[in-house]
Amino acid sequence: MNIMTSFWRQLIGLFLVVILVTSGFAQEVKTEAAAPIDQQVQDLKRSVLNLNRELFVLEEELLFPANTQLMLFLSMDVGKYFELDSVEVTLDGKELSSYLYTPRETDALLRGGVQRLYIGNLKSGEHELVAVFTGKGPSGRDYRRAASLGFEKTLGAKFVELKISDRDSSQQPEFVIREWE
Amino acid sequence: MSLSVNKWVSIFAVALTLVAVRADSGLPSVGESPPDFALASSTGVNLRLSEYRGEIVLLNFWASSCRSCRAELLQLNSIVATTASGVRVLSVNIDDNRAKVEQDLRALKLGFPVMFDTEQAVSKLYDLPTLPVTLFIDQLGRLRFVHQGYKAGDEKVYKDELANLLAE
Repeated sequence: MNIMTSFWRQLIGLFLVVILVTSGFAQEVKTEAAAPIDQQVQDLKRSVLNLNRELFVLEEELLFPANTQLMLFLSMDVGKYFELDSVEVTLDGKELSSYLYTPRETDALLRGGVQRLYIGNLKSGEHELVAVFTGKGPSGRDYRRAASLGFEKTLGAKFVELKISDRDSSQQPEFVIREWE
Repeated sequence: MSLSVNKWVSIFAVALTLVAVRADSGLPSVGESPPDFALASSTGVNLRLSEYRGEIVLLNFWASSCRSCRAELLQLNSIVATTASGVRVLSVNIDDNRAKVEQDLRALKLGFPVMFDTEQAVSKLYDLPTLPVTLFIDQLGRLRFVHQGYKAGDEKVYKDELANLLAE
């Protein structure tokens, strides 16, 4: 009797499990079918963007390995005494980067944006970086200033920032090149 | 028969090579995004092509010494004056003497900005085969129509193409 009860109990249990599983599956299928096509398109676009970002990161890691990588950034602080027009960067006397700024781009920098000006590979050793900034200085006059940095490239990525800021004491812009630790 | 087959294979190979060479040189291909660039302009500030994405851009290349370029510029000026907003004409002058071009511009009285490619960096980037060249770029930043040279009456085609782009 006990064996029979146990058998029926197991059979009913199995039956219930099958019902639950199949109803859940049916619900899932129904939900998938009911998902709006817009949502599916958005999901697909999101996946493509994610994949694209991952490929971009992978590409950069392959092209610019951490051991030889050099990255240059440009930032602006305040900008009361200087209106940026262009930057030319040379490394050991060779042109590395040249960039012309639109008002929209300088505005983004003034609002705290940091621009990646250059990414490349550099061999270990002593190097000299020179940046020439052109634009409008105090009183709207044409302004051209250079700043330089001598640095040693060792193993590991090197990050260098070109920073334009205001020096209130002299009412002049200040151009600094510094390494990120 | 075998010679004939070889001949056809050779012709096909040459044709493929020509197509490949054509694809690698010259102006950007229709359907692709033309290369981005920034230049100083007659507005007093630098302009960058990519900042006009979302608008229809008529990118025109010209030189002061080219007579048909000037005729086309005047037609573009009239088109832009009568067209709905959302259409921009960006004109790139490739002369090396900017002061002379600015002097010309005062006489031309154009209603759109002219960018100064004094070092011909952008004209090399676009590998211009002739002048003038006008490229129609859609709201998504894709090159849609290419016009090399200009002759009277071309502006009708420009207007039709513009109407098609605006209707999209």
